[in-house]
Amino acid sequence: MSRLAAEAVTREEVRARPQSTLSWMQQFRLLFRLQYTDYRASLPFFVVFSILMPVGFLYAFGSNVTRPGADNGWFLAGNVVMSVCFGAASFAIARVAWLRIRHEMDYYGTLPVKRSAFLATVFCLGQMSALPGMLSSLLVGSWQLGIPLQNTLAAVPLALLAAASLTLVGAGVGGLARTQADVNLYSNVLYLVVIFLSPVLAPVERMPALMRVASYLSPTGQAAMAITDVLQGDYGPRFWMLLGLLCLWLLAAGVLVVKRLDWRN
Amino acid sequence: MKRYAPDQPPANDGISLDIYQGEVFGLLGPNGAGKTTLIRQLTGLSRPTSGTIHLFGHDVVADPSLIHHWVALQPQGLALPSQALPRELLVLTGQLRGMTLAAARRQADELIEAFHLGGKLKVPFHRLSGGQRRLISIALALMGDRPVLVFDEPTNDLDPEVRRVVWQRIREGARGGRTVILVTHNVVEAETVLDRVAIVRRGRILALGTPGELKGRVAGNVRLELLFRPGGEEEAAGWLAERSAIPLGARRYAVSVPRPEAAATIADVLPRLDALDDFRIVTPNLEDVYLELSGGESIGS
Repeated sequence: MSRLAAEAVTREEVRARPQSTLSWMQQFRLLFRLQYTDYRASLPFFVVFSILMPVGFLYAFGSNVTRPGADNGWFLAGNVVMSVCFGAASFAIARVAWLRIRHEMDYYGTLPVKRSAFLATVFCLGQMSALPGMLSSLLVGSWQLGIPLQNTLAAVPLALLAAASLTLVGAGVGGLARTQADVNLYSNVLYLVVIFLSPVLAPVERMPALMRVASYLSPTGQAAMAITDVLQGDYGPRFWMLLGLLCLWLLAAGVLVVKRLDWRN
Repeated sequence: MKRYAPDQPPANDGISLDIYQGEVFGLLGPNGAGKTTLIRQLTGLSRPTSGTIHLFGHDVVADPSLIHHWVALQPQGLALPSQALPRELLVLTGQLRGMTLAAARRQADELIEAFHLGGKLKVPFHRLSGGQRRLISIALALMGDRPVLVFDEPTNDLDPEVRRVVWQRIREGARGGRTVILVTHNVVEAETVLDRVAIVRRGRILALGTPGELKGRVAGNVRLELLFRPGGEEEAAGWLAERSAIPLGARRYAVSVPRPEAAATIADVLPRLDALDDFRIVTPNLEDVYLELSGGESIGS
């Protein structure tokens, strides 16, 4: 048994149970400012590259893989999902793994802040990292592929939901990493899942049967198909099923993240 | 008790101690003794597998969130937001500990001046030297004037002049009624700074008391420290073995002898001076206490 500053003190002066002087929002704001410092210097480059990558992809491959007169929403949806994965999910894997491997989490763990406020800052930074690429993809892609503006705008909330789910999945995966080699491995697995097990380079109907099944099981595939449906204005049963699955991923990954990212391990 | 995995031996076990308000309490022991595990438990970063910790009468194993309102930690590692500037790191930490912006700025500026960091205000944390990062880490622990301050090897990487400033701040903190818990394997610093010390080995406390009380256990001995020239130790191998010499590092040995036998042992060493680079006669210190208690293992080993 350990007793810290115990009886001699408490007999004289039993300290009152401390109350946090900061609200959750104040904690979140200060933690966000603190974590944002890590990205401040590289932010302009990050924004430029996260816009250039998907827009360049649309420009370079758009005319090769899409068909004139056909519905090409799948290509734009795939591009949005790739933006989210290479932005938010990659960010979350690397950020959370970095915090754990370097023990930077110890610093946050000794501050009088709620873990939910800390996790919310990681989540928001992940979302922020997805936004430039995601929005530029949607806007440029819609214009290039001739997708109606109202369908594009309707896809924004869904793309944000996909980004939220994938950020949390990434954070949960990052929480499993113990070494830098683990981080590299998990990032490569993510890229494999996105590129080969999701309909981002071909519409789901034209994928091999096994990959088609995998597309329905992976959150990236579900996000790509749900965004495709919205861009095509198709709100049939498949869309609602995929939307529900994405919400489930969000919930499951959220629970995993809260459990795995316990700084008192 | 803390056990990280069921098939591993516990990192610490059977530790029972009281730490009193306003004292500078030390945990002294070699690397891997379990000191850092213990302070991670005390600071709420590691949940004990079993046992209880009470802080100001509150069970903080049951409610670890209480710890962070009272305790600040300077961890051994230097992992902090790497691109943050020193002053913003200090100010934001102060604010997160409940200080107003003005008060946090005031204390940050005062610590920056005390630690001579004024010339580094525009340098991101990751570009500071190891010693400067250590100072920032210590300053972060001091922000917000927590009643319990925990320092894990605070003077690593620091030059002697800055060390003095750091110790001064730590002692000032204790004089102001704060409890300071200090992890170190530097016996000289431990003896000069600590009010009480626990000697830790393999996750257990071997001895607990004031440095004077603990040194009293070996007061009847003196220690001869011998640093051999290359090859010299082989020539003296028999002599070292006869006197149960303890290896302290490369070519460095310690021989503990009862005071009445000291003169004879020193006379025995003198003909071997050519084989030595250095030879010292040392009065007992906490290192000797550890040597005695651990059966001949050095803190530095």
